[in-house]
Amino acid sequence: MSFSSAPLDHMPVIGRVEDFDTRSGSTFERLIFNNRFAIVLACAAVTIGLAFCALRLGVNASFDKMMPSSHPYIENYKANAASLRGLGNSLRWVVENPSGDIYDPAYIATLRELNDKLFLLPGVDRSFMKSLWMPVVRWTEITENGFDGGPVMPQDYDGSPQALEKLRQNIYRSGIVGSLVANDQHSSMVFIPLLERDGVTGQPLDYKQLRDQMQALKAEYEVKGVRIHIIGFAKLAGDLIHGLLQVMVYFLVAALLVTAIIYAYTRCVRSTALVIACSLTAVVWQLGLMHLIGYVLDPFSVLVPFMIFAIGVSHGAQKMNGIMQDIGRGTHRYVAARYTFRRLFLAGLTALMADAVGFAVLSIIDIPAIRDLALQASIGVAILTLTNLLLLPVLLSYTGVGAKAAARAMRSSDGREHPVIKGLLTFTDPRVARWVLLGTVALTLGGLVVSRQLKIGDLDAGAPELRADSEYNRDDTFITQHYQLSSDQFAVIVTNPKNRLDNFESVMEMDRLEQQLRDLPGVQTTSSLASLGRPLTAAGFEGTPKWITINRDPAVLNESINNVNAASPEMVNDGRTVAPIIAFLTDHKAETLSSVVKLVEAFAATHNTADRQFLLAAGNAGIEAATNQTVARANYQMLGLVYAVVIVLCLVTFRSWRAVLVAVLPLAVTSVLAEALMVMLGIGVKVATLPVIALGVGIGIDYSLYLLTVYLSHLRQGCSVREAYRRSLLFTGKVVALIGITLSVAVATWIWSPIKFQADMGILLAFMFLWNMVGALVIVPSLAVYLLKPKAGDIAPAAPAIAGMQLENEALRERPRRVSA
Amino acid sequence: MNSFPEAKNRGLVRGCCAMLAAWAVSSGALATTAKDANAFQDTLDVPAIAQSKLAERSLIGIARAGDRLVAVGLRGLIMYTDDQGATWKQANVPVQSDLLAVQFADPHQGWAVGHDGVILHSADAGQTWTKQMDGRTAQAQARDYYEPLANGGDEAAAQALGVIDANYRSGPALPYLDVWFSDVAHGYVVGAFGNIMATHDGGKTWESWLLHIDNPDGLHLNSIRGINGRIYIAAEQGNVFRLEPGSQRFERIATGYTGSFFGIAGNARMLLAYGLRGTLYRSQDNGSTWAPVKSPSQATITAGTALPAAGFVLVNSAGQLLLGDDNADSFRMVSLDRYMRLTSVIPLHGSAVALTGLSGVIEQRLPSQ
Repeated sequence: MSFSSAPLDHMPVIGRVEDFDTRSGSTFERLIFNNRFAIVLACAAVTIGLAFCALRLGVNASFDKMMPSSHPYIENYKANAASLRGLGNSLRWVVENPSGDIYDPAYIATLRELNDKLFLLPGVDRSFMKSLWMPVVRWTEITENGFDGGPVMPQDYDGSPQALEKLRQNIYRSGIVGSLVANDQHSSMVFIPLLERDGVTGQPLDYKQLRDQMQALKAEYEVKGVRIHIIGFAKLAGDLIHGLLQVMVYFLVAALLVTAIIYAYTRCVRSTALVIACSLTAVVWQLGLMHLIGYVLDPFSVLVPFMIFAIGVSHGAQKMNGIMQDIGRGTHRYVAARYTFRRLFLAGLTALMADAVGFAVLSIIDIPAIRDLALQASIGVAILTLTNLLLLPVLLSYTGVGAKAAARAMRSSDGREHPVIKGLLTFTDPRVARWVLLGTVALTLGGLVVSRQLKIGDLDAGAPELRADSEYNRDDTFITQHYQLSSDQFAVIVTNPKNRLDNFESVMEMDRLEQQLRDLPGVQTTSSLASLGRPLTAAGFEGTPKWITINRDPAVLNESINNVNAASPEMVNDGRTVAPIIAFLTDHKAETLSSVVKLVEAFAATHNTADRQFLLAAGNAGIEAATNQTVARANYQMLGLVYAVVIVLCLVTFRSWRAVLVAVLPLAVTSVLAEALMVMLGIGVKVATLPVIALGVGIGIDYSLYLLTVYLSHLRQGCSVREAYRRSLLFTGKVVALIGITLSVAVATWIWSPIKFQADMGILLAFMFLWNMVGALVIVPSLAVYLLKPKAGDIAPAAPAIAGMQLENEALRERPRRVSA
Repeated sequence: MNSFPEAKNRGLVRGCCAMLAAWAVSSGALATTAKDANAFQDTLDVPAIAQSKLAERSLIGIARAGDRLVAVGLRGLIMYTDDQGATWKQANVPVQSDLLAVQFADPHQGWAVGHDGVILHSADAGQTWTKQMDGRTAQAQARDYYEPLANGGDEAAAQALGVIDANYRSGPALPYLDVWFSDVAHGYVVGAFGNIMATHDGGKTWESWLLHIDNPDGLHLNSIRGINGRIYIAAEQGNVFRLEPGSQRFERIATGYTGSFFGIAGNARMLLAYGLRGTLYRSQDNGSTWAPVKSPSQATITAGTALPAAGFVLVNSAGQLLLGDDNADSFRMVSLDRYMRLTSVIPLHGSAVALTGLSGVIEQRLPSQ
């Protein structure tokens, strides 16, 4: 952290480039600036190459990546995934007749057309598709002469009232009200299982293409007088990809806003353009490298460019400031660029490294999406060191900056106090500081009380990835209300590889777990071989309810299991060794999930034998339970680690535990308030909030690092608290504000994302970046009044005049040698 | 119409079973000695577990014990209410077998039967139950009875022994489908494959009554009920059996119907047999002759009763009530607000009935006739 290698007095004002000794500076500096053209050329070539790569970057929404891959539940699921087809990929299209019930010839005709089109969609597992128009959907009835039955749709259906009456009768007889026909019979469902790979081409399913086709079909048929509701994994993935593309557009908005802010800061078209161009270059490189490494854009990684851009711009603008002041004083642009490089390369590297640490800490979370985010962000920050620390000064040495802006930069740093600075200085008055600190304590205590209600996991109904009022979740609500099974499914995987599951003991044990699960609040109903097999046993005994049982006779039992397998092949594999027990939950709140987990684990502990195992967990709710456990653990690890890192970083920088306290306490207040904000906004701790915690603290420390290094340096020189803070503000106040505002603006655009967790991240990060800025400007001086007072004997008769306020703040990041401690 | 592998031997099986003599039954359970603490525990060896939301459980039968209602259902559930169904309490039941029927001979003494061949008894109006008999003890006793005879050279006994072993190869797989006690001493249980037993000492001992019924084909005996001093069994293939007091035999009466009857209800004037696909037959001469009645629904009728005031009420698997007049001349259909497959019905005070079904128990006020 010590970078006093470029004493200020070695950087005289040099007006003509010929007067400058090109052999001065470090070897590295000479290497760069004596080969400027080659560097620019190389960067241009790399940019063009990576831009082509970036254009070919794929887009996808992988749910696998959002699962905690080494959690035992997920391992159990993956080990048995091939046998758990029903929990995989399917689409449910509900076709509603808004002007009556389904016994309407026009409705039935439209349904037929749509059914045939859906049948032909790519990736559809056609033999398992079900609807009123699929002949596999049958009714059966026991008569005096044995079984009678046929397809639910009468084979001679002609739209006549008689045919419709027959259809109505068949629907009743088949018992599909609640599953394929809505409870109120105003809509019916087309159930479409999907293959992971296209049967013809062998290509993996393209969710974006499928979604586009589905939306087109939906639009086409809604014009024909039906309403369509679609849910299912593939639709959700498609909607996420769609949302992701929309968020990419927000990048333009964020870039424009940030550009405006930088222009307002520099008032120089040339330097604004340069900073923006270099930061964009970093984004292009980062995206291009992602493609080369083999990544695609997903809902998490799409956020990385925003962060990289904002960090690049705020750090770049700050470098620009130094160059402007040099040029304003008459130094030639080439020399000014070299001076800046000389002064700032190490400092900038350190600052960016601190940011990278914040990202790197994320990789302890056992969720691939977050690990990818950590890696990609770290790569991005590494790229920034090239584009913003090397390329930017080199380019500046060619372009220079606008003369007006340079003059303005000189004026603004001549020590005249801005009213905002005057206002902020009052916080060094102990009478004011006392109230600030009391207020902070009160706010923190309040925050702590509220944050005790912080929940783990997703709290809203429907697909948590999307907003509650999204089309998908409105469709989900409709289907939940009009059909019997909820979309929150928690599956227990029952395995018996050696002795199979088609025996009385195994089925009875499954029945017992189902019975306990059904008794649990939050469980609507359950489904398994056992509960599905019971009525099928009765079917062999004239359908009488007295035979809704699990019979010990292997012949009776096997027939019922074979019938389950025929009707619902997803409920038991062909080898009869793996079968799920699916609990349909009323919601996916963390308490609901953990009560199910607790029950199933207790059951497994008392019923698992060497052969027969009840394993957790599959289904969206099962995976979410595993994610919640991982997230709850990672939340504390993450907080602990990120604070440890920040404290070490501060300690190395300040060499004073008091200064560490002054820097870290405002961050802790922000963390508490952020948790309280999560409670108030109904956001639970989840995969998406973990990066927020790390970034909020990891990047939040930047402000205090800037302010306090300068502050301590002045204090060391004998300034009073007020004077030290005044000078710190003059040097760094604008920078702190600039970083806070650009970062907040960049992430705030996520708030409009259709992907809910991105919006949550945007709100929380914007809050943390802004509040950390307030903390640095208000709480830091108030704390300093008490914790970082100059020692009585230290106050020198006169503060030595520092050669111009135009010093770069980083140049002052010398190790403070004496602080009150 | 069933799939037991022994189906082709049915007649023989029943014939041999018929030779079983009186079985003395104790209620001692056969505890399995499990090496593995987590090993499977048979449904006959473990008590029913406590359940919540009792009023929404799958229930198959209901009976009155004085002012109390007692309902039985799947997984060993027996529950009772003393406030017309406002609150239900779960009884202590020693098994987890699916229970199918319950009846009280007086306000305290009651019996419940079901799968695994289980017969349960309560002496405290349904709060606690003890096991009088199950399919396993039945098998053991059958063996005890036949083995010495077979060893002594009795060929019929040897054959019976073989069939018994084949029949119970999969353990106690046969259920008793219904129970009827005329008083606290005398009662009958009937079940699948023509199984029938009687007791004359309140269930302390049960004796096989296969020799007391004219059922050589071993038809399922679906239901048994005493009406106007006579006892009737509703059975497969359109058969009704009537107990003749003199011979103490259940005589077979062909009704002309070919499907299954699931029960018989009756009042002073009329008997009504009901069954598959909404079938209704009535008899005005204590069951000697029967004639079909036009049914308003094709759904299988699962239970029915004569009402104390007048008329009949039947319930079906489509969740409908069929209301008939006192003579069972004509029936009309009433749909419930809440759909559920109905399994049993008993009259309550006034014009209300209690209904059980696969998703619970409800009290239903009947529309005036």
